[in-house]
Amino acid sequence: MRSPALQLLAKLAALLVAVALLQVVLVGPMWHHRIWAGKDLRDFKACMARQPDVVHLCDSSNFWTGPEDADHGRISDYLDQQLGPLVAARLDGGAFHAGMYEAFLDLMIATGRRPRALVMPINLRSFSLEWDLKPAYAFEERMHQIRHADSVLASAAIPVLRTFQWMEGDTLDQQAFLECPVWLGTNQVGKVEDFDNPASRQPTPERVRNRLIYYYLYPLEKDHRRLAAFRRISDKAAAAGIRVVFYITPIDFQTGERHLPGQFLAQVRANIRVVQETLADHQPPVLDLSTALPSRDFATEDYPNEHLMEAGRRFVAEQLAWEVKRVLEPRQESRMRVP
Amino acid sequence: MLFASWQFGVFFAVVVSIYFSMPPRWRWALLLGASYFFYMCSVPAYALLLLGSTVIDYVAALRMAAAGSHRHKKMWLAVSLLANLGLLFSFKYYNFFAASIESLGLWTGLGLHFPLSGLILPVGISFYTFQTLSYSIDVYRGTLQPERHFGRYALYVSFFPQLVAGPIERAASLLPQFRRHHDFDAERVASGLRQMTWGLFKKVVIADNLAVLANTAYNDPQGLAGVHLAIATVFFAFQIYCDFSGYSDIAIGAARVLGFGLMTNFNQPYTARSVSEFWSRWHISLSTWFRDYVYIPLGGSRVSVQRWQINLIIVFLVSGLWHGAKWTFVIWGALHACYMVASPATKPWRAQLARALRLDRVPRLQSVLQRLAVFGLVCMAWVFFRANSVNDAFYILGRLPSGWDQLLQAGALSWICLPLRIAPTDLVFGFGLIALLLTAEAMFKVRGGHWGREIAVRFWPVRWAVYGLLLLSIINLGTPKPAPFIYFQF
Repeated sequence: MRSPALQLLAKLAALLVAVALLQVVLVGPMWHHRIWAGKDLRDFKACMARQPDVVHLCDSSNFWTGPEDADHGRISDYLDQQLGPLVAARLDGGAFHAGMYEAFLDLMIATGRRPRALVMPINLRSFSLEWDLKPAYAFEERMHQIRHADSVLASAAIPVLRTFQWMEGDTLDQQAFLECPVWLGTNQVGKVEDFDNPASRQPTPERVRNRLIYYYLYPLEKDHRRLAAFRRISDKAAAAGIRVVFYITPIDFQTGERHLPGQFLAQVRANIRVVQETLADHQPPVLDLSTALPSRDFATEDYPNEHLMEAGRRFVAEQLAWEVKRVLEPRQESRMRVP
Repeated sequence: MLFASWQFGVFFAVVVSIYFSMPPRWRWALLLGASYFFYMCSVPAYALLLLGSTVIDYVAALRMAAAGSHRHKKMWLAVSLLANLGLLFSFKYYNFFAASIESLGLWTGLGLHFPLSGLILPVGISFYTFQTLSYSIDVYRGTLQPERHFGRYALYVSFFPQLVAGPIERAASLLPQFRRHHDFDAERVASGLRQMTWGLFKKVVIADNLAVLANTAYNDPQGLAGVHLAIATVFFAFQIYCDFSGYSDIAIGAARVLGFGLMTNFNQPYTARSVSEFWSRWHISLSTWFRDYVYIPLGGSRVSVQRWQINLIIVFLVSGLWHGAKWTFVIWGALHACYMVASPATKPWRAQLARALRLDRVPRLQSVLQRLAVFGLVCMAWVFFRANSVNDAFYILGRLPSGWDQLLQAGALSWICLPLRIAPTDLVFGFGLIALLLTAEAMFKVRGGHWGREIAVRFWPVRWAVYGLLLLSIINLGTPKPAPFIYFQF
């Protein structure tokens, strides 16, 4: 005779198994269909439908345009034009970071839809608190969906993980985010709530200076999770036979230096060194465009960021095209224009 | 640690397993350790506040019991009251007080200024301070013997199922249960799990889905018509009910699994036919707390009419403030006080109106109309409870009469959904959830019991089908971002 506790446990286990089976058999395919109907995977399908040689994974710096631009083409569009017979497609989205790029790479490898090369920005701001820890930019569920989009079983697990808040990972809640310390080099200069105030839209010199500190002047550590993701991307892509061109996005260093003379470029360069050292084994070496463009090429609205005017986007595309050609057709030489 | 999280699932399974495997005499220690661990998952340092409040009330109660004179007894009661209310004031009300004084200073030109405090409100502080206060007051009144076992007393204050959002338990009910041994009873454990599942369903499926529309409207009410705001308010009414009663169901169910009985906190409040009946069905543990420790000491209803009205107003204003340190909550409390005061005064008129409309001959219809009227009044008060500011609340109330004619036009459904940024199916789904809840509760009421007891006696395939559907709904019909429990902020 089994004990009442064991009997109850057996019944509970049987119920959970029955529910799990229903979830996989009945609900899983519905979720699978729903996930593929979502924007990220529709974009993925559209991108892969072109059978591209090159996929440009990017954040909003790819598509954000200036109000006076004659042409509102993306960097990816210009890259495609520059590459001639090679086809370049894009997978981009606002605030995309290394985690999202890695998820797309995982899906490419899992589904066997591998381009010859990937082009990926290393946006220095994406390592900052403002981007890396902002709850709205965590995208944990999206990354999970993309990474496991080829599996019905994983699709069936998504609602379970979501309901019981398993997929949040280490995403902070808004209050904890606002409490995070903001650094200027190695000195704490306040908390996120002092710097990330949506009410302060008017860009006074003090606010611009604060934004520059908040966006770029953190001390980048080698074990930063987004940097680690770039490292993994490099390894996974190499193992899958995909070449990756990493480039550090241009930043408005002239405005930075004007507001924080000496300090701005010093910290930015220190952070770039950390990136380069982390990806030192990667071929080709990281293309550093951080100081390649003057202020006039940036489509700044309120505060400096990486959004570019048409000339800036065309310049980046040209640099990337040369690098991609050099990687895929090794006889070409890299050319770098310094302003 | 939220009840609707995998962390709580693991935590609870581990606690239950160890609890029933260990010798009964040490189970209090396990529950106490688990309760402090549970509390420390939010801001660990705030466990010191919980401990401090516990120690003060434990000592004060023992001193009161041992006091030779009434003066000494009173002094120790004052220590307990000051400590608990001081804690509550410092963490919950200080900024409200400082900001209000500063506004008053600006208005009068006196230029008063108090620096604001950056303290974060400790989770559950309003609940556990009220629980310990009731203990001290009961010991002072001599209706309760003080607990001499510090561990058991600390467990009474911190018992994890009801620590952060109630029900606010009385020591006379809960403390003796900690002294008893609770053997494993499969039927009781199953009943507790059933109630937890129902609570989770109400929270994850109903409350969280209704919250999406209510939040959209209330966070940006400008430009919305009365229809949108009325729908949002009805959705909020059911959101807060399912959110809080769902939490209470999980708390009561979890305690029952361990062998403890907690008080019923909600009893179908939206079926009330008067506002006073609503308050005997809504957040019962808080309503009875205010009745026993504020309303009756003030004289209750055994005083002159004016004095009774003042008593009611005091109780509801304090109740409003208990919910939150904002003027919107104060007005919410004041509105309910007005309803309560006006209810007996308007009774003859209402009876006359019912006779004139011949409603007294159709008691069922009269009952339905009474329920709708009470629900309307409660919803009007919810506008203040939910609105982000007093200005927003008045704006929403002012807009309520507008836009109803649009409902008769073609494409009304799209006209409703577009500004609320939802699909028509979401709106239908929301109303469907409300209908499901009301139908289920009405069925259980007709059959005279709780849903858990009702389901338990069903033929096993029916039972399992219901469990399966509930679990599948919880898993699949929640929102992408589950919201924290509303009452956590109080």
